[in-house]
Amino acid sequence: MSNIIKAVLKINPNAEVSVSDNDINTITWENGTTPIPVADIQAQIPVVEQEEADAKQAAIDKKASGKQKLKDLGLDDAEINALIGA
Amino acid sequence: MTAILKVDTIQDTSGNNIINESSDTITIGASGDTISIPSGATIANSGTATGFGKLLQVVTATDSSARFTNSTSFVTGSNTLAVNITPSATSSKVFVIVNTTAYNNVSGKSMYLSIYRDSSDLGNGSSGMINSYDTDTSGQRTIGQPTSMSVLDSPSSTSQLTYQVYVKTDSGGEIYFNYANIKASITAFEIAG
Repeated sequence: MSNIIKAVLKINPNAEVSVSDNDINTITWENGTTPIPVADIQAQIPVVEQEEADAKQAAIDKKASGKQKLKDLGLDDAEINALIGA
Repeated sequence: MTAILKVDTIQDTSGNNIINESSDTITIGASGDTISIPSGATIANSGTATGFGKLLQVVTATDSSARFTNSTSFVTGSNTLAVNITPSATSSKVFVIVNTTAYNNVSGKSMYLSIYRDSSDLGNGSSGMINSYDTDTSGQRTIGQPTSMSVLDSPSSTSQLTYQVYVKTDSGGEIYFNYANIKASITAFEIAG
């Protein structure tokens, strides 16, 4: 999802908007959505980006910890890769 | 010296009509005849020609801006995939074709696209012309789908009409079209009725 729309939804979860070329100055407020000041949206973008980075890192960490647990059970790398498709 | 021949009908030597005038309608030849235009000759039409089944005009527009929307009702999302066309006769048909690339940015949601004539959805009203459901469960999609729509419209109008692409998504979804700034297009052809 566009980070601009994610930032808007953090402020107003029911907002409906359109954006062109990921340019915050092109926002169209759809279906009666009350406009939000650009500065407020911009303030949320680093939060959104951090959440995305955290989610990606969490997925990497989960994969690594899961692999380690399988290793601890005695599976070798080939067996683990066959199981998880990696 | 100028001469004027005043007749309603010109016939060949066998009595078959070649040209006939009646009630402001001029008829050339008769059923089964061939009317031949010699090589190098030109027929110039400055009025209205009907019944030829020909292409009367073509208009086109493009849009290379990536567009995102999470609107749950059909909106343009500021796209410039819009053409204005003024049919020359109420019997004309308008064929509209659209090409873009799009996808739903959120798994488990649908993207919907349609072509509108002014404020009228030429699709089915609720889902438009395209309903593409994303069954992926891994999160965000990043695969643009070639997306094409067409419609043969019978607007019965000689007023200016606007044909434009409209899009929407499910609640919680997001449609991304003109993916990666591709050059999307809409073209409308007026075809004589």
